[in-house]
Amino acid sequence: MPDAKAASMELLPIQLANGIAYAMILFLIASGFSLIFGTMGILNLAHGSFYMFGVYFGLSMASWSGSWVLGLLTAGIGVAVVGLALERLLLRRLYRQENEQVLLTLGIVYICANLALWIWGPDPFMGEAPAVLSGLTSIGGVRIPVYRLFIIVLGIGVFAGLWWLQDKTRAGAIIRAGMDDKQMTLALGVNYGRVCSAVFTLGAALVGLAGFLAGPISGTHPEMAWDILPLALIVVVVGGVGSVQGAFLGAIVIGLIETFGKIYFPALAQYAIYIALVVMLIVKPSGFLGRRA
Amino acid sequence: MNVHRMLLAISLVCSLLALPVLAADPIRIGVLLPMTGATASGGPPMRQGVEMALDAVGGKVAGREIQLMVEDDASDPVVAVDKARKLVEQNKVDVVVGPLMSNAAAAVASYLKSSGTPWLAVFDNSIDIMKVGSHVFQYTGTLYNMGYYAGTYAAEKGHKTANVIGSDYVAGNDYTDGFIDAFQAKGGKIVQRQRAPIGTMDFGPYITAMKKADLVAFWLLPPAPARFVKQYFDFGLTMPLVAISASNLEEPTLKDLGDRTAGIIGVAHWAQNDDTKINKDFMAAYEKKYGAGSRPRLHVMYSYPVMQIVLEAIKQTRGDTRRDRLKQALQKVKVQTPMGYVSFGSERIGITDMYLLNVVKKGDFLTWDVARKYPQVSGKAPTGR
Repeated sequence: MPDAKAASMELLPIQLANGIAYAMILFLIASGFSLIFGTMGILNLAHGSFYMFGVYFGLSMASWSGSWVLGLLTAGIGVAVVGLALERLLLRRLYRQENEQVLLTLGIVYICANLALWIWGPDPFMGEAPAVLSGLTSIGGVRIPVYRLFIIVLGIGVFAGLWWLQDKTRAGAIIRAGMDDKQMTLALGVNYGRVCSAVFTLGAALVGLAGFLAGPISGTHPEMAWDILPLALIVVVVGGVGSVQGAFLGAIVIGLIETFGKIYFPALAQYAIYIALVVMLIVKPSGFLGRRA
Repeated sequence: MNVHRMLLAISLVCSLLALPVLAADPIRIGVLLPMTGATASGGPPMRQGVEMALDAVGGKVAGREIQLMVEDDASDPVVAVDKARKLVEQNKVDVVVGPLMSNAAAAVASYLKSSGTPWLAVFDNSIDIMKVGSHVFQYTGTLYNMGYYAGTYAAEKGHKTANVIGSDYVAGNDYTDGFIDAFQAKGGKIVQRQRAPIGTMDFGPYITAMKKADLVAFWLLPPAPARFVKQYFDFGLTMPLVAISASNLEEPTLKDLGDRTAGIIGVAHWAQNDDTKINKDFMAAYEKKYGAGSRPRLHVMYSYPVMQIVLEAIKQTRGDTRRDRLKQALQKVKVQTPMGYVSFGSERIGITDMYLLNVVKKGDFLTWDVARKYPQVSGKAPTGR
């Protein structure tokens, strides 16, 4: 079979673009997960289901209303509501009980998968980029959808916004304080319960939006959660829990490893990101920029 | 009356009394279907297929009632074997049909070897499954074979070069190997072969690396085909697409992907639109049973013919469900199904029609049309796979 390397150098720019666009989707998925895990120590495996619902809610609204923007808003708000309900009704009772959280949220994944199957049927659905962002441009002589470049710009924008929120606002300070020393934060009179709900809701909204935004690329189907979960976990472990920068760095590393792995190391492509995970766990378990050990 | 005649009379009466008991004993057919899990889209239509086949014979064969024992294999080999165990040990089934997924199918076929329970595959598997035992019946043939006909047809249509992409596991490799061997056998050249891990979300790297060729042939584990084809179109590539299995793009997915899918070539064991009388009758019966406007998915025609085969074999043995009798009858069966005549070759691999299809738009509706059939071909390719 023809050697991939022969064509590889000319493809470097386009593959870089592919890799970074993919990394931005990973960042949007992982930032919510990292925020929740970092702040509340909750391992929310239903995160993948939130992604799935983001696409479903958004696509249903977009096709009913004809508006992509409405679809986007529905994805974010709809999943935020689901997230808030999950946190308030169920997860709140399992504070610090990590095993129970895992079991509960895993059960939720199965329930959500069957709900989706029941409501929307077994077939996958693909989203459609809005007209203004459809069409092709080219990088290094190879064509790429304009939408993917939009995802890159958006991802960087969200990163900047979340970083600002984390470092330059009082809300961000409270969240960071809570991550570092919860008892002290409580002692200083912060209503930590409300902070947790807000963080959980924000995390859910982010991943719901991520799902809808990635809709034209990877779509949705009832078992989507299982595609998303390993990615979220690996990005967060590699990049480091609890900071936006960590999620971003992890996303870039994993996004590029996976993308270049597919082209340059196809035999290893299936395992590339898991190898990265194992290496990171051995060398620096808290991840590149982890706040907690 | 002398003693002989007395004994004869008594034994005659006793056997007559026993007959109703035999006739009343139902024949149990175990069916393993994926109602949940990754391949859950296949379960409900396959269930429809077995139910319709049973309806067609009125629920009885050779005076004995047919009892379907349907179990969910959850798209998981471990669960599939557990359920198979239940079917054999608790429910005492006479025959087992399914599951769908090739790894689960292999596991169940292996398990059934010890009891010798006749086992019928509902869909294509790897040729290796035939080695599991003489209780294995593979009516649709092998995965490789379907790829082989895809490659044969592509070459016959005049294409000289091809890109091939498949999911990197047994089924994906079998399908694409078949395509490659056939295409090359007819003088074609494979310019590139790509293998994508299961669960790939972004096909961008593969698509942008595709070299120029006359076509791109693919088989991917669902739901990847929808993603791949969408991204392929979005990247603006125009090389014709060949879906090595048309089931990668069922009608709901064609609808979702839109008009750009028109012209895609696909291979299947059946087409909803086939205009034979028996198929038209089947389509009408389906609509009657499941509601006006309902369309059967390809999976309905995986399980329907299998049930026809089993029921015909039971008819041939006149209700005798002893293992060896059933196996002999299965080997000799020939049934006319909506997908054409089905029978078994000498190695228990099926002889069926292979359908070459392409996507057309009929009015508002995107669907698969029959381009040509390769009639009554062995499920095992000429290369032995």
